[in-house]
Amino acid sequence: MPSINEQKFLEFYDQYVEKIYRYIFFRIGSQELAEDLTSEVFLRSWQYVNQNQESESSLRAMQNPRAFFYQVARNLLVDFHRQKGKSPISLDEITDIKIADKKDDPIEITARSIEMEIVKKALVNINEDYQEIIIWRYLEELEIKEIAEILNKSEGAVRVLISRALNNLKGVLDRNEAEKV
Amino acid sequence: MEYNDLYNDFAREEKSFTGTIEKIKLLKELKPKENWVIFCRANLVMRLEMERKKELLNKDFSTLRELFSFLRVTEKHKHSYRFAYAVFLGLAIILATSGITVWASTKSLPGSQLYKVKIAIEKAYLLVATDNNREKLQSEMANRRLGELKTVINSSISTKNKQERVEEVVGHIQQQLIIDQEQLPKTKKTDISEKSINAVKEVTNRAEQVKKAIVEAKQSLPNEIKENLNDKLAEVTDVADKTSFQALEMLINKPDQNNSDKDEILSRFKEIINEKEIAVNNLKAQDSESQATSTADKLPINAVLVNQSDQAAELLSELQENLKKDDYVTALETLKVINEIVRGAERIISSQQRADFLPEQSGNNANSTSSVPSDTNQ
Repeated sequence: MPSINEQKFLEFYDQYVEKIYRYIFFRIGSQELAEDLTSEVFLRSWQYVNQNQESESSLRAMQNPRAFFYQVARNLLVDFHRQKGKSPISLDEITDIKIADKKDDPIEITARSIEMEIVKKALVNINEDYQEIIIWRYLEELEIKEIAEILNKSEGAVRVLISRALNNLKGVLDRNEAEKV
Repeated sequence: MEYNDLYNDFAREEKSFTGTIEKIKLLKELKPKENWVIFCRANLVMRLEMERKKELLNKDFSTLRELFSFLRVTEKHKHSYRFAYAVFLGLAIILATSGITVWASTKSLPGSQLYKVKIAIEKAYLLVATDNNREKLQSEMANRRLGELKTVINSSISTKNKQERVEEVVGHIQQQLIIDQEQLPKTKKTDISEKSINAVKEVTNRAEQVKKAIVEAKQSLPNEIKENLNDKLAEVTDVADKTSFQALEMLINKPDQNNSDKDEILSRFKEIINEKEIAVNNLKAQDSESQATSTADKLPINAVLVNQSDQAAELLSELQENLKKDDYVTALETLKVINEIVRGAERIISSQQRADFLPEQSGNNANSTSSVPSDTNQ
């Protein structure tokens, strides 16, 4: 029986590793650390699920593995920053974002890189709670219900938070645009 | 009703931010490195396996304690002794059978269920190995995989089975290379230890052996399998090349190089240059062959191939000049460019050959199609 669970867990890994990595990378700004923490997320998740087999919390976790992995990642990030005694690295420090699709035209790649840089800078200027919720909702396309589950908030509260985050981000983007002009 | 209104309000609000949301979605293009994803998965599999074994061991231990509890029982419980003894014997038989399974697995080959046991045992050994014997173990594992590849290629089994087994063992070879690549020291120029350098040399040796084995495999495999596994084999060669270059870079970056280090670097270069010269000559031979037999629609492709093989040959001469000047950094960069050119040209040739196999073009190239069964043509 355990091997079936392992198999399923590895399927979850294949499904979510990219998303968890991206979430951690944007919150931490270092490729190596993001790799280490992502691998830790899956290992700790497995240990939790395995040790609490048949328990309600474990079953619930595996019913919505995505939300569970994000929760584990979030807790690990909190621990990480606490241990290091510093606040999360701002997105401004994130460098070397490589565009995955190499088949594209170099001009298009450059244009997209510039656009990405603009969004990244705007995200830096909004608070961490807003950053996080924007990453989840629009980058990782999580449902409101899932975000509510991760944050342990009501769906209504999440909608309000998203709305504020979007307004805030748009304001920063518009301001940056106006300054450029 | 109220909930629906709220939901619709939110959906409308989100819609008004479409432009901003589209911009955020651009950041989706960030992805982890493919090699890391594979390595991390392999690592996770090993850890899960170790956890399971630990659990089984704990279970066995408590079972044994139960069994031997009869030693503590008083006279009045003597009747339970026979039962405990019987269970103990049963367990001993099970354990002995497991032992036979483990022993049998060491002799197993790809395609067999025991082969998976063998791979799992090897991984477990690697996990508990000390730093000193990990290198030795990895080399042994690499040699074992290459030996298995040879055995499978030379075996007289059906084409379908052979293809599946070659693919399986090649997959393991690729995984080992990725682990090697990940283990190469990620250090700056100033802190490369002698131990790291020795590890780098070992990794280079393994990568070179893999490349040779893949070349041999390509020569020995039937056309049908070669065609079907072409991408996989090219992928493994690519990983081996990258590992080899990364290792060479480490050797070049070693500070305070002595004569023996320089000899080592030169010998590595020589080995790779020989390999690339053969590849360039093969390209030229294939160019001439396809020029002689090609139709008008393939002339532009042939022209590109001729140009690429000429360019690669020119760069090989440049590379020799770089080496004469002891400019290893430039030499390595040139080598990487040559590699890209050769691989690119090989890909073009391979896709051209695949196109020739298509039924509608069979009239143009009857000889090529004859060696491929109809199922691969469709």
